[in-house]
Amino acid sequence: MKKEIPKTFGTSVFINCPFDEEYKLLLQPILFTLVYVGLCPRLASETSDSLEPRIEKILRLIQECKYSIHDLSRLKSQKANEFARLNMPFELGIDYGCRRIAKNHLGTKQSLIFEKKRYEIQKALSDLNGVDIKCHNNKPIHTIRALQQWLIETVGMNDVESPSLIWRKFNKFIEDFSGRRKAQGYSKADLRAMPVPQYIKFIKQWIASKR
Amino acid sequence: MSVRYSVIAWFDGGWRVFRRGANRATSAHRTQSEAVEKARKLAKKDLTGGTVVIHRADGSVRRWIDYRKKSLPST
Repeated sequence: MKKEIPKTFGTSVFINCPFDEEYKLLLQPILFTLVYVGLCPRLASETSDSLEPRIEKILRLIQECKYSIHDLSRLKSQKANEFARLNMPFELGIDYGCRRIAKNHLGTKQSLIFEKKRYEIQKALSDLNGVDIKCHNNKPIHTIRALQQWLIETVGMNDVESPSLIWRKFNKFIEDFSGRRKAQGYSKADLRAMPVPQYIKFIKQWIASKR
Repeated sequence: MSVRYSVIAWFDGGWRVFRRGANRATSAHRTQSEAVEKARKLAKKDLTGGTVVIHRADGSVRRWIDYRKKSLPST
């Protein structure tokens, strides 16, 4: 039986990234930019069904999203005896395999790969030689610029607004978001631990209030 | 409604001061402290006083400074 294409397939973006505190600084502008241009970010952390194995959740997300963003900027260990983080390249491999082998809509999938510094990935993952990779220098402002370029070049959103404007709007959102949440009784710890779906909901509400 | 000036990091490594609602930057600076100084002056100069929001390079808010003038009690 032919499997139906999910209605949201064409607007969903699977984000394959670390879920640590430090990475939130890059994740937040990525989420904001995607929602701002009308796309729907999807992450493994969006649901926490204890009985759904993580790998199953990732496979489901990969099949439900036409687009994917793979951030490989945390491949390198930061200190001696620290293990390399292999989840991101593993999930990139699944996504790539899915796209290459599929004979259906999954063959139309498109991806963005981020690295921290130019040509850094090739030292660890030479199979990706010749692949177009964007670097964000670990800076949110550069992440927005690289993402905006990808949206134009690959997704075909030629009328997407400038990185300068998106960055300004993101800063405005942060101002309003922190002010309003504090007024609602959120502590700094609450804001730091806010689940991704709730954060996305606040971005959507803010954008809707400005249009 | 009082005016708000935001100090935000920019693509060239410098800092910009933006007045809330304006399309273009009010001023451009090499360092954050120069930008904060300019925003403070502008907020103080405003008739009703304004607010300055200082962002970090990652976009998060470092500090709010309120220069809004409290209205005098009516006699």
